[in-house]
Amino acid sequence: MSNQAVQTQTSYATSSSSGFWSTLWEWLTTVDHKKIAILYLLGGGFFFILGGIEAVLIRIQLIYPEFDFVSGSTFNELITMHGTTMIFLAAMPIIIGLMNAAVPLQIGARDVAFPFINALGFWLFLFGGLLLNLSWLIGGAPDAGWTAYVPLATQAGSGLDFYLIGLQIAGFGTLMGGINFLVTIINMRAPGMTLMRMPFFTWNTLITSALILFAFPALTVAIFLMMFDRIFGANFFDVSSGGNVIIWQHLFWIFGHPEVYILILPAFGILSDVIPTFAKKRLFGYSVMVFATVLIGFLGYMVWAHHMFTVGLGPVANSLFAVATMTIAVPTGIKIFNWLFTMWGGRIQFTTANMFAIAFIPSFLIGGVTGIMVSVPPADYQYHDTYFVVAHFHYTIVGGTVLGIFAGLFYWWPKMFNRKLNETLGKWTFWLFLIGFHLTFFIQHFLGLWGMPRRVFTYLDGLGLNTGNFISTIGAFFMTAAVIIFLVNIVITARKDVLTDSDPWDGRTLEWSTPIPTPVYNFAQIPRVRAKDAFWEEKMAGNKNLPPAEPLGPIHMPSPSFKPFLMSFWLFVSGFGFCLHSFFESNVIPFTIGAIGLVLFFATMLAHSLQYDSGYHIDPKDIEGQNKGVDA
Amino acid sequence: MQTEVNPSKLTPGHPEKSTLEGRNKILGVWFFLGGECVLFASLMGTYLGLRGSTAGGLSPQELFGFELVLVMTIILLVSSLTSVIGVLALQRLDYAKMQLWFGITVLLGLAFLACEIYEFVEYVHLGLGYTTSAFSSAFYTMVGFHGAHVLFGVGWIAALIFRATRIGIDETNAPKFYVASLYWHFIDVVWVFIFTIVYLMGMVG
Amino acid sequence: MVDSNLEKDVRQRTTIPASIKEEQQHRQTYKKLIVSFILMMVFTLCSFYAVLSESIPASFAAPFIVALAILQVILQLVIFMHLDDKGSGYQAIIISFGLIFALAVVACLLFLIWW
Ligand code: HEM
Ligand SMILES: [Cu+2]
Repeated sequence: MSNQAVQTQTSYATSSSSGFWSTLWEWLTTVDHKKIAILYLLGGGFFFILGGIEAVLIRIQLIYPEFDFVSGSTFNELITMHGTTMIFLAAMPIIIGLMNAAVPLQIGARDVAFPFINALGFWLFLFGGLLLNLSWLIGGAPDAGWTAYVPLATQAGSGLDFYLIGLQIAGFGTLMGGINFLVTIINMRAPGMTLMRMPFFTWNTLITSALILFAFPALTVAIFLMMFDRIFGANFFDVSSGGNVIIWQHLFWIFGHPEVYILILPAFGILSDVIPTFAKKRLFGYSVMVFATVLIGFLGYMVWAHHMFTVGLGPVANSLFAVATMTIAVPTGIKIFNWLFTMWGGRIQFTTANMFAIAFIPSFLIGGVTGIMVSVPPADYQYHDTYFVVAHFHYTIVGGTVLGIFAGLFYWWPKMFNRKLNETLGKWTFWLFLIGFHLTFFIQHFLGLWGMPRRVFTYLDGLGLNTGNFISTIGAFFMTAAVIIFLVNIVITARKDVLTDSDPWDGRTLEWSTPIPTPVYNFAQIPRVRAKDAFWEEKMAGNKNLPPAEPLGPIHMPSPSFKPFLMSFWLFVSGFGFCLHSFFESNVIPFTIGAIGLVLFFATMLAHSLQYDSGYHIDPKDIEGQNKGVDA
Repeated sequence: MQTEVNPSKLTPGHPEKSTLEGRNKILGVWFFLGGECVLFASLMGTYLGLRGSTAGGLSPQELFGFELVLVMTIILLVSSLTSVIGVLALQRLDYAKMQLWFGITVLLGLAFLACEIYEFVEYVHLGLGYTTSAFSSAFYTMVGFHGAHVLFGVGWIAALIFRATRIGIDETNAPKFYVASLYWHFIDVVWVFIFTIVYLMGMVG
Repeated sequence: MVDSNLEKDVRQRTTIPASIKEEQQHRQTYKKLIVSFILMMVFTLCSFYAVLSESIPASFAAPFIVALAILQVILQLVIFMHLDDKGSGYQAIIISFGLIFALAVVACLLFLIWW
């Protein structure tokens, strides 16, 4: 069975030759969501390691008082790049990778709505990330913090240009990814897959994508304004010419707070799929969960000013935003209880995926509780810009998003790579990571309360901060070990045989109903969905698979294309040109490179839109007799 | 193994929605426009915040005259009408009329751009450079972003017109024309706010 | 990718005559467009007049022209952008959220940056 499926895969996905170059070409031109998912994982994983190295260097610098492992300015570069890399180039891409891997299969679709744009989104992210990191080699990395507050950032060195333009390019990619998922989920669900039957990860992808759609344009504008200030001498943030620095803070946080929900909602979604699967129970309170997710999405957009309590917006604005912020705790609390009730009375299987999911709950809960604490303006005057806030957001992002990502990786690895990750090594990763995480960040609450400000490169002896910082750094070493074991696990797993069981976890949702490996077209016949947890219900009813919703017929597939790569490359060239402006006396050379890149970008876009290529069809005769993925 | 795509028979009515690809495109562009709302709101908010920051340079009251703005407004409004008539022709599968109306739309778009460039040059001559004040930066950026959208729209629709000369109306380019016209209307929507809030309110002070 | 036969085929199909019922519908749509265009033109001219006329105080003109702008935008969205077509529910939701968030953004930048 699996052999046959493998043949199907290769005969359609590749043009049968399989040298190194043709494989490379295949990956550079792919528009298949399953391959793009893997690309996102590789890209995001690469930047995760980079950001992790930066984190360890930060923690080593802080292990002893007045230590001089790195200089103060290097430290500033490290914290800026760590935050920026982890949020934009590691967490989000890995999440989008998981979305690509799971969502089209979960809704019974053959592909996403815009395969070309999907690929473009990935390459834009990758080239944006590369441009940002190029700053390490040319003129120094950005050093004004991941929030790049002005006027510090407008006056900082050339690294800030790489920050701005790199993020701009990567941000375009994310925006495209968001629109792609919104349309995919709304338009491409299989017959019978009503909104209220969607797997929960799909629901959260939908809301996350909506947040991306409405949040990123604010960042786009913010970045343009600062670019124009820095490159063309505009005065948006130049107070002496009437500019206003608060505008940056507003625009950044109008994007920034939705961004933190963009990071956590997909993790909520992963939990809501993983926990029922391994509790062998359906998700408790599905419709309430949907309501809570939508509400979190909406409120998440309306609370950004809680990052600006100490700016001086005034008591009225501060109170309004404080109340709105605290309100979010209600739907979030609902979710926590629903996961607990899902597990309640279930036959819980402690797989690595599930252990990460279960550990998420108390860890994230602490982050939520400190969130409520910092959302009280008078109290926040104490917490703000101390390690307390650092502890808060690492509890939400690491204890939430990263644990969720690990759960998702262990859960969907068989779907993505046709092999199960090693469970023993997985548990080592789990325990080391969990212990290391709490060691690193729990004490940081107290460091903050004891008066340690964030973003300082060292502290004096005798302030009572030594032990706390030492513990924190040791914790970071534990997490490093956990990640190394995870990498070893990946290598070991890659050498294992392909699974024969396409449904290794006894899954509930549609992605587990496709054969292993999943053919390019996902479903030979689009399935008909008759219930929530559709695959599980069919299995319970004694069926092997879902009934088909259509007869076997020719399957339309999009053509592979090199243009997404090319377009992203030209934007990279253009961005690089503009970044060079602070290295030259006159602007002629940088602007010329910048303009050439832009022109080539639009030319490639034009070539794509003038091309008449509506894909190709896979003939039903070639599918007949093979594993169809759906029980006919 | 690769078979040629066989376009299904188009009928008048909603050719733009005859395929899933077409429906995806339409929804996708609507989402894109939803995001554009926030983009232009951010720019407009910035402009409103900085409109008084003239740093000794020219102020909105001293700068804006109504004649050119009125002309530009009418040009854009008419172009919005011509593009929707183009869509009507598209829905009747009337190839010649569709090309004609979209062609007129492109010309009107170019006329609008010409006015805008003239306006900017005028202001620069009066002494309002991009770097003069926070107000000037915000003004040129806000209006310039809109102008860039017009330029992109002109290029987009022109490319579609050119593309259609080879293939007529079929189910691949019916949705393309349709969404380009959506985009074009949205540009007019943004302009309505710009002429009201930036220019007219700027004139009242 | 498309061969020349197919191309011709497509061109021919563009001249299929519409039925009489469709013709009537078309006329109605046409009328709807023209009427809304005229309305938009009137709104625009009223706005300009309100601002230019000496007899209308600015304190009235400002909210008045914003109201006219909103009316005009609604016409654009509903008539020209076909939000009145059947099955445009999602589109209406999307653009409403876009406008709500846009309003929040503008309000904040308007009121919360100087003090
Ligand atoms: C119960 C929900 C939450 C509440 C009430 C909340 C509230 C807050 C508040 C008031 C601040 C500002 C603190 C300060 O700077 O003084 C803050 C900072 C932050 N929060 Fe949360 N938060 C919540 C959940 C989350 C989640 C889920 C994430 C991410 C996944 C997150 C990520 C962050 C980040 C990154 C910062 C710091 C940004 C910076 O200044 O660099 N928060 N949070
Ligand atoms: Cu926040």
